[in-house]
Amino acid sequence: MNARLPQVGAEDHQSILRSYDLIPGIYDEMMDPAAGPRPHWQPFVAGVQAMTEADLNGYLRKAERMLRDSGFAHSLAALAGVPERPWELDFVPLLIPAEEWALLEAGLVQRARLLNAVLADLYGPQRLLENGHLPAALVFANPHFLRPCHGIAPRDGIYLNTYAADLGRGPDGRWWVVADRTQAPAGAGYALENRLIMSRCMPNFFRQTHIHRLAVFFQKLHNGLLVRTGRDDPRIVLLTDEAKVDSYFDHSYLARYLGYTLAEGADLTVRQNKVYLKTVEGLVPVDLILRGIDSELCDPLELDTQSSLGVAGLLQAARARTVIVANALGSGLVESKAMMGFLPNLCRVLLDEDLILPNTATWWCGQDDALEYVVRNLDAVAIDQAFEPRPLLGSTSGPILGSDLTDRQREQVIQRLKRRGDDFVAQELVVLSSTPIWQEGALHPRPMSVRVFIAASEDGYTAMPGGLTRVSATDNPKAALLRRGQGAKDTWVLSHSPTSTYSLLRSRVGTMSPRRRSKDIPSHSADNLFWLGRYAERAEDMTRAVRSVVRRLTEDPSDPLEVTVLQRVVDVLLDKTDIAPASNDEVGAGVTTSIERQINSLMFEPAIQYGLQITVADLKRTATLSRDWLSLEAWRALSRLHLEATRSRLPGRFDVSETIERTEDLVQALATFSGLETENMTRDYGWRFLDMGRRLERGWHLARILRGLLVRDEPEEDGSLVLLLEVADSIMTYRWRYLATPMMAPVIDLLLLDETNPRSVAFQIAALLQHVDNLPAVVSPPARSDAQRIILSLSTAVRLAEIPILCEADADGYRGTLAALLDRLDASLPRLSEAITRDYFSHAEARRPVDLKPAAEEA
Amino acid sequence: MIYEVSHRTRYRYSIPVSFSHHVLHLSPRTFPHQVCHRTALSISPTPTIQTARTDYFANPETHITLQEQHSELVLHVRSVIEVRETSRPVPAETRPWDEIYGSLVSDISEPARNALQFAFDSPRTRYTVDLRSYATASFPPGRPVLEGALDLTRRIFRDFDYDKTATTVWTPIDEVFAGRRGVCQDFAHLELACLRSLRVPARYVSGYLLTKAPEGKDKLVGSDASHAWLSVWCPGHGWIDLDPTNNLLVSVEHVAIGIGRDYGDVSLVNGVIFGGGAHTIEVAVDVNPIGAATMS
Repeated sequence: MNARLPQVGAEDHQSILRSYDLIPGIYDEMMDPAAGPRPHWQPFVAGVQAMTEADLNGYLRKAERMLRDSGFAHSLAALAGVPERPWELDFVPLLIPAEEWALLEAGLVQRARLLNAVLADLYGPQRLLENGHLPAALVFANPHFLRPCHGIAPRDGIYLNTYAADLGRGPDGRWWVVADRTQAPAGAGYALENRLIMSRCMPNFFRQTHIHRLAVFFQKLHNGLLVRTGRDDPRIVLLTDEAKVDSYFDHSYLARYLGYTLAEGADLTVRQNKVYLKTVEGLVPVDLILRGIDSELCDPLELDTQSSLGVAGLLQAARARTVIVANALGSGLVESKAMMGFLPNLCRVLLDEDLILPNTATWWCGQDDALEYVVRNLDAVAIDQAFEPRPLLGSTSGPILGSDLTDRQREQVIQRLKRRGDDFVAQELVVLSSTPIWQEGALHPRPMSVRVFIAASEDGYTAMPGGLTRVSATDNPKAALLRRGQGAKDTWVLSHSPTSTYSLLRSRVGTMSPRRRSKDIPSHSADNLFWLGRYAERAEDMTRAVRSVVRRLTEDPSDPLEVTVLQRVVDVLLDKTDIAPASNDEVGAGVTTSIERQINSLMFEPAIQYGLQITVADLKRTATLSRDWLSLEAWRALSRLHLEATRSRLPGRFDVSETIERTEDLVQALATFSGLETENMTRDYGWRFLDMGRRLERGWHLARILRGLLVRDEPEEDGSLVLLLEVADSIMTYRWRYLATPMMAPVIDLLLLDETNPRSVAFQIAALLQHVDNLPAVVSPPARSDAQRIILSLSTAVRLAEIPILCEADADGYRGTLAALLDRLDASLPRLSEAITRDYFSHAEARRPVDLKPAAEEA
Repeated sequence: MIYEVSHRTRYRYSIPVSFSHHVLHLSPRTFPHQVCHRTALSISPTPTIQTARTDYFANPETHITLQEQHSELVLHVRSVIEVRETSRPVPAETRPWDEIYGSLVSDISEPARNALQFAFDSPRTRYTVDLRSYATASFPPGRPVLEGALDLTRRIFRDFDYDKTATTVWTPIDEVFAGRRGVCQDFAHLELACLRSLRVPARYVSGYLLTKAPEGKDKLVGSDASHAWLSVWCPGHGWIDLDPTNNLLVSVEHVAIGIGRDYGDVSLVNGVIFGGGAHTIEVAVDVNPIGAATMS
């Protein structure tokens, strides 16, 4: 039976509390069943209640838009078949009153100190094992006890730089630690992003309520890292895994906020026992690695040899103390559930304190008395793996609830526990509290847990006053059921007095010296930017060409000459795809049938290499990985462009007018993106690589179109020249310059040789020459790099070309010199791309973990 | 017996290696029954950095970094090692296998912890139900541990074929088990996984095996080989070495280099190289007896 609640608000049916039916038997964050909303919720409830429907809707729409723009980034996951966003953001925050927070903060800070002390002992003298305070088997059986990391002692004793705890509140109103995260705690970036969205959408509430700001925490985290490195301008990288989408966005958000370089293992290298970041300017030393991936993956030499994410030699660098790894390698050891049962005692042993915050009662089944208890009380516990922590979003194979088992299953479970008890833990069933979510214009209670983050600062551990609250999609309050795809919330820690604001913060760090260097560009970022440029330009070139062709299809294309020309343009676009050429049937069916089919495939079929859909997907992928370099506006333009390109089509066959409309919209969106990208990027190497990608792609495309239309027959007669001018967006320039119908020589000049026309081949080549000469040198002058040779040679060929000779045709109407020049461009530009890749993107030097042991031999 | 061991490994790369890191477990350690009198490691080309340390299992470990381009790497270790005949317990008088784990977990002494740490799964000796039932046939309740272990060693020798082509260093243990063939380290892993599935502590041993020349002929230079076997924990006696590849209790013809949970902890040469293309490896091992044991 659900309890009906006292209503708030003038008219019952309009109250936002009208559907707030408490879940029986659990604590509710907002509602006291006897007295209505708890005092710390009253301003919020009254505030929402007082909003007009229009205000509320306006607010929700704004929040939705911000989420969509932000969610676009997350939707990269959709490409990999992962749900779009790990969770939806609910606009009702979780409110934590000041007194409760004080207790939580003290408890979590203590817990961080405790877990740090446990790590220091187990990776050092192991006195806890020697004295029997912790069963040795609990450590030895734990796969996250990494033997090669034993003895690597951070100079300042900080093994645990950041720590997170998942908290739940039981029916009696007490908070519990449900899980510890010590490996590489994730989610702080999401918490920050949630706060940003909330604060932008809801400024009034922020003004009316005293809420602790998150910025102070991050500043303390940052200062803590500075102190650890002993430098005021250290180079800090956040080691991530781009392929792991959920954590990648968390990391990329955090890295951008804190100004750290986001790096993958392949971006780092160890020389002379020191860690360096590979940038386009060469190797630069790294002082501290904020570790976002599991320890096991971090060094293929000494840890998981099959990992491609790590840095070979990292452990040696850590041993030599030339780099700080935070959290220390191996820190996942203490987040196992099995450890939880021992913490109350360890706290007294190590800190001489009582544990402030209790954790879920836990029995490690590797001990006889615990095992006996568990077998006797199987109905009251959940059985889980002892050493495998659940990832941030839960996993598919959750714990087994003893009460759910059939008699036969019970017997099996008991047998397994008796045989290999040390692999398992039993935990009491965690019952969570509920908190309101917003749904269909009213509040509804949902079970929730909150992840709180702790970081080492200059003066001990400090807690983020806030956190990542997750709510269940159903009203089942069992903690084990919090899974992927459920809601997230901002978490507000309330204060009695106005909280410190950014200006206070600024004076606090006024002593920080200004940043001396510009942003490092890791080689792989340069690679992504280069390809972002290429894909953006490829999409634009393709769409412009298709637009020009399709426009002509609306006119009566009875002139066979003109159809031939259109087919030639389409053939150039199809050149690299596997779309079938025109068949005999199609030629018989009607002059434009094959063109329509081909364009349809090129633009709308999902799996065509060099087709629009794959190009846009690649564009999105590289843009996502280059997020740090793009402005928010460019990002939004891209979001719209992507929406436009992937919008589902009207059902039925190819529709000319629809396609024209679509290409118009796309060209518009692409132009907006490129405009923003050029306007908003600082002229550093990042911009150079992006622009090189663009120039290279445009030059290559243009050369191939010119090759397709100009080297044979009579371009002056068949409409090729007008089409070309249109495709190359140079029709106005031509008219303005020549005031005449297009002729061969001036068109060749304008589109191929004129360095002042930004749409000419010569312009792209000149720009590329300048870019390549301004890149960091890979060979010492006077020697020239491959890229320099290729572009210099192309530039010379284009500059020395003479129009009359280019226009000359032989007896068959073939313009051999023109064809040779265009073929050379067609062949050399991809080679230039390869040379740049080799010299700057670090992939040329493929790293191979090699197992150098020969197959064992013996007598 | 005192041996002079020469172990030379040469890597040749089809494309020059611009830069590489290696971890080496080539220098022999000392055991109760074995003393390493002398060992010297020569490396060509000379590494940019060379560091020696002792690993978690107390094996000597060498780290090298080569930062100069090279097409060939030669690792040559020469050691003088003395191996002593050890007294072996009577198998039937060893402790029942099913009492061992229970007594270790309730004992916080250092020797107990040192044994206990080898009772659990390791990356290359993961538990499977099949391995456990295979092992159980040798370990009925109450059977003395060494008796069971010798029986298991015999069965692995009988049931599995030695086949250099069947597996690589990456072949997981369950595939070896299913395919019934492999090489010495596969058999060592297999037996380790079996023993650990019953929580009997056992450790991996990497080392050399002295070969005998065919009757009436001289032994070929370089014909000895690196080898792998295992030790099982027998309370009251310590670690007893078993060789499932040859169905032997290990004696003075086995020279140990190092120990670990499995191959991954003590692989002779582990490396990450940049560039290199294809590579070939030549290994020459000579184990020459040079005198009788002197230690007592």
